Amino acid sequence: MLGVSSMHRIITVAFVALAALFICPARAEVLVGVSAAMTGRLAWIGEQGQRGAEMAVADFNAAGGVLGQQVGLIAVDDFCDPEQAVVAARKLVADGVVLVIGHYCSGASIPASKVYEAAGVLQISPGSTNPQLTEQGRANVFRVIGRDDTQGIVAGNHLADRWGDKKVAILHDTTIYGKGLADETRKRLNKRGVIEAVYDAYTPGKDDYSAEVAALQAAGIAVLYVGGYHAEVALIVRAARDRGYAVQIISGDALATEEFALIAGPAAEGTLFTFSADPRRNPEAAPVVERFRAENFEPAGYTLLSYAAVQVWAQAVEKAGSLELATVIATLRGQEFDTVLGSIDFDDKGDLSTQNWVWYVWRSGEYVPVE
Amino acid sequence: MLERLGIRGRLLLAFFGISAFAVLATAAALYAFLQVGDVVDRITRDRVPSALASLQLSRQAERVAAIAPAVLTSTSKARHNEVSAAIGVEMTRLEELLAALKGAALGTPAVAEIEAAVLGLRRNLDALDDLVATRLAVVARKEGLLRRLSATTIAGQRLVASGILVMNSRLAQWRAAAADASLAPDRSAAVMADLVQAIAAYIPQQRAHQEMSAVNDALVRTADASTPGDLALTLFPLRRSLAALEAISAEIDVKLQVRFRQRVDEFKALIDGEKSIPKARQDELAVLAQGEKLLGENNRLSRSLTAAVDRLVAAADREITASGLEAAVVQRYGTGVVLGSAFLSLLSSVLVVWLYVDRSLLARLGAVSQGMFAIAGGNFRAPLPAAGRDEIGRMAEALRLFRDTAVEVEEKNLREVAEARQRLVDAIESISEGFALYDGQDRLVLSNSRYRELLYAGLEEMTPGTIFEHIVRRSAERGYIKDAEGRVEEWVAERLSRHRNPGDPWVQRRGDGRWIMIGERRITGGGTVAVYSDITELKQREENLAEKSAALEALSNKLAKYLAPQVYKSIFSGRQDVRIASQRKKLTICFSDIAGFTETTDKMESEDLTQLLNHYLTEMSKIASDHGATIDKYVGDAILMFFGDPETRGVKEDALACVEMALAMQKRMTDLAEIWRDIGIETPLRCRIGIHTDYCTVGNFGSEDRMDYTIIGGAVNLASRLEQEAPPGAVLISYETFAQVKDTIACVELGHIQVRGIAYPVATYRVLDLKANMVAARSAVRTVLPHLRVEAEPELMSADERDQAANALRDVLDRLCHKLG
Repeated sequence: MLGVSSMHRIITVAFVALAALFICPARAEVLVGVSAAMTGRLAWIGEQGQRGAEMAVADFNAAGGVLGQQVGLIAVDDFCDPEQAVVAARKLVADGVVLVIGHYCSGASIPASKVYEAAGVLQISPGSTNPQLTEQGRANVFRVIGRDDTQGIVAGNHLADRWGDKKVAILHDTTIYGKGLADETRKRLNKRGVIEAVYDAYTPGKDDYSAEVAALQAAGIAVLYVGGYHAEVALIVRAARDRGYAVQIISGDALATEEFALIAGPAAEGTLFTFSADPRRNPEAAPVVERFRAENFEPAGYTLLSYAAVQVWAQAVEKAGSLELATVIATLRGQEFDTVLGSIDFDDKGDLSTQNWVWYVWRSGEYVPVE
Repeated sequence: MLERLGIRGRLLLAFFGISAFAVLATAAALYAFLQVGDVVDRITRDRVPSALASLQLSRQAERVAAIAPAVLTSTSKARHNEVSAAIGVEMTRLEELLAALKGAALGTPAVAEIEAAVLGLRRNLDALDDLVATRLAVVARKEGLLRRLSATTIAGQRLVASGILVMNSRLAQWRAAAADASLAPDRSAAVMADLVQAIAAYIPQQRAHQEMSAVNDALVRTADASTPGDLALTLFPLRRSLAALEAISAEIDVKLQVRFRQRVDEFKALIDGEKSIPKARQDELAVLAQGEKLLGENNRLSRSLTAAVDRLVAAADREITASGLEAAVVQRYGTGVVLGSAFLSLLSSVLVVWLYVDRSLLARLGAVSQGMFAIAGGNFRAPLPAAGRDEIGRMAEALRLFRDTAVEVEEKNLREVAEARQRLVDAIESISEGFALYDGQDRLVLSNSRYRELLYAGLEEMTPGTIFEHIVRRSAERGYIKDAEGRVEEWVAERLSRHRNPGDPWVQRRGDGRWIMIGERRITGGGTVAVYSDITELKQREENLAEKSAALEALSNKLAKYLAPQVYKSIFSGRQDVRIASQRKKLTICFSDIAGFTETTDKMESEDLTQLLNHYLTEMSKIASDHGATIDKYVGDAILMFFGDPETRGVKEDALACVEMALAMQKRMTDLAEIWRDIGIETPLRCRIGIHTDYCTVGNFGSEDRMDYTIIGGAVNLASRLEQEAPPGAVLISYETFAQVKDTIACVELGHIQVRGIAYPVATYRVLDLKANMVAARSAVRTVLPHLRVEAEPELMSADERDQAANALRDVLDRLCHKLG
């Protein structure tokens, strides 16, 4: 009796185990996170990142996924805030992502990178330019945009060459990005023998910067270099033009956002800034750009950089034949990748080997390269 | 009839009777046991398994019913899989239990009912599972739509955000301008105009913002609406907001208009149509309602299952109770039969023992055994039980025969013992020694008349049974024992000790002068045998022999004085028999006498002379004896002695001993001269001694009646001659002796003498002293040259001799000088 009963039990358990095998989802998809400011003043930049990553993931899934697995995307809002960035990073790690596209603000990317390193998650930032991000020696951190030390050199040289005989003012918004870029530019400018007339900081998030602009006008500043995000720069430009103050305003990569023109209005006209070579003009990017435009979305700014970040990872995984972090990192460091940005490769720190800054100017609500 | 069976047959009959009752009891017990076993078997085989299976089934069904609601509440696929698998397992188990129950209780209507309920449950659960899968799909669809709603809302609000920012900026500027009193009026107006323009531009954006928020909120609420009625209620405001948004889109900034319209279309899709959120929620509610219905059905089925099981269990319980009662009845009857049989068996045993064993067997066996004990105790007259035809009767007959035979044997034995005893007494009486036998307690058992008359004539207490100690004490007190005189107690103790540890036979001296030899020996059994022999005659003969032996010894001692001690010893120790025999040996012979003895002693009285001579001879003999000389004979004052027989130390040693003896004698003579002078002998007696060494014949010479131990030969004459040549007080020795002693003894050559019987002259030497004693000898002159030989010892010379020596040497010197001159 006992024997038969035990047999029954064993067979039952065996069937249950088999059933469990079939029911349990084999790892259906690889998860990728995108972390950016989805709301607030930098929401347009977040939209660029999210749309870029979504399009790239959709394209890979349509082509059969990565290593035969579908890729799932989780978007989180970091509000461009250092503390919120760490919380967002923990959420993504808890969800089990293997890659994070982001963050976009340097002030968010740097603290989050520590979380990703500890969890063994790869981080590729399409927007953070502060050198510190890759200078911390974290093996899991890469970026597909240039660094502010090179951007600062380009800006500093431009100021010295074109405006060296005029009164130059340098402002920054006190963020890691804004102050870092302003300081790099100032360093270069000073090195070139030009000393700025004003070096000052402003508080970000205010609605009106008329007082700051009035002070600069009073000081007779002819050219103003601003290290900050586009919304504040747009308000500053607008305040200057409202006063009839024809100061030349120059800024960095954060200005590559349509919303700059929406906020600044006609005052945006003539504002200069540096950014990566516009990938929309790359032949490799043409089909992608076409698809974006078909959805009534202009893939400006960081859109295609985010697309490229996903491309780089997917290609590295395919080349390595594994999702294992160490293998993927080794492949990223050792290989070249064909992306919408063209062919790119990384140095040992995770920075682009070739960093190309190009001057753009706002004309009629759009930014165009300076001829 | 019974008589003929004998004890064996009758006992067999009794035991068969008792056993019959025991067999009856066993059979009854066996029957009851089998009946009870049958009932228990029926319960355990049929009823209990089916009842247990039913109960397990019921419990299992309840478990399934309890888990089922969890299926419906599971909101994730993983959770659903988990719950579904758990229910699958429980259901499988339930079906197994059902199969077991069907095996245990075939054909019962309750089982059919249960089976139907289980089938219903299974079907119901499958349906529930499908339903949950559908619900999960619906929920996933709804969540996807909600995500899209969120994305659309954010995107829509993003479009109007820049306008809001500009408006805020304008408002701030206007506030600053209003506050700044110093501002020019035209500048203030411009600021105001800017603000108005901004507000006008902003109004549609703000309305769009509001409407999008309203749509978002309403749709989020819809997603969780609890009834279809609530759903329908929210549709109206949603459609109105949508219409408003469409109206606003025309007023939006041209650059954003296309994107804005896109968002509005997205909202529209989320609000109406198949892919809208309200539709998704409606589907979900329908699924939930269906699920609730199924659960209700589930519970009903479970309850009916439990009820059916309860009926089954109740039936089993009734049957078990009935069987138990039946078993109890059988057990009661069985117990009665067993107890009755046991009582009857006990009763019959008692009757057999009381009526037959006790009265008929044991009483007669007791009489037989009493008879046996009486015979064994020697009482042959004791009454014996009457003979009979059974075993005990025959035993009594045998006992009677045994007793008669025993009486006969006893009488015969007594006669034989008396005869044997008489023969023993006769034998003991016929021996010449006294004989006594004491037992272990030392009491006299047996003695012969010789014993009594030999040891204790006149002692009346010698009857058998008298203690040994008493006998010896009495004899000691009466003075029968020589040893015991004056020490009776001490002697009695010694005697008892010897009696208890007898050893070799020993002799006892009796008071009347007789000697008794007593031999005592312990015998097995602790007694003592004593034999007494009269050895008085033997003892007297032994004493005579001892007296003769003592006389002989005294004689021998006297004889010793007339013989040389060595010869005496040789004879009495038996080494050399006294017989006529001789042999040639090299001996050293010594002669001594007193110079001018006759002249000196002529005037002396005979007694004095004898005394003097004896004194002299005794002294000399003593010295001779000390040096180991054999004294041959005394001839007047002369003594003949020799060395080398009967014992020799070697020729050289014998010669040396002889010369040393001679020197010792001369020295003793000097001492004796002083003594003799004191007793009146003026002229000192001086001794002459001659010594020669040569072969002689030594032995016993004479007739058979009388013999002399002496030496014969020319050497004796030469020794005598040397003695006569020797100056008084000197020792003269021949060359043969000198040759033996020259190393030790200092001598001086005196010249040659002619001896009768010897053809050549004999060289003589005067003995001076032991060289060791010769200190003066070192001053001797000794020169040996060719044709010259001088030997001089001035120290030894007298004055005349010195003069003569000086003249001789002077003459020699003159002649030597003259011839040369």
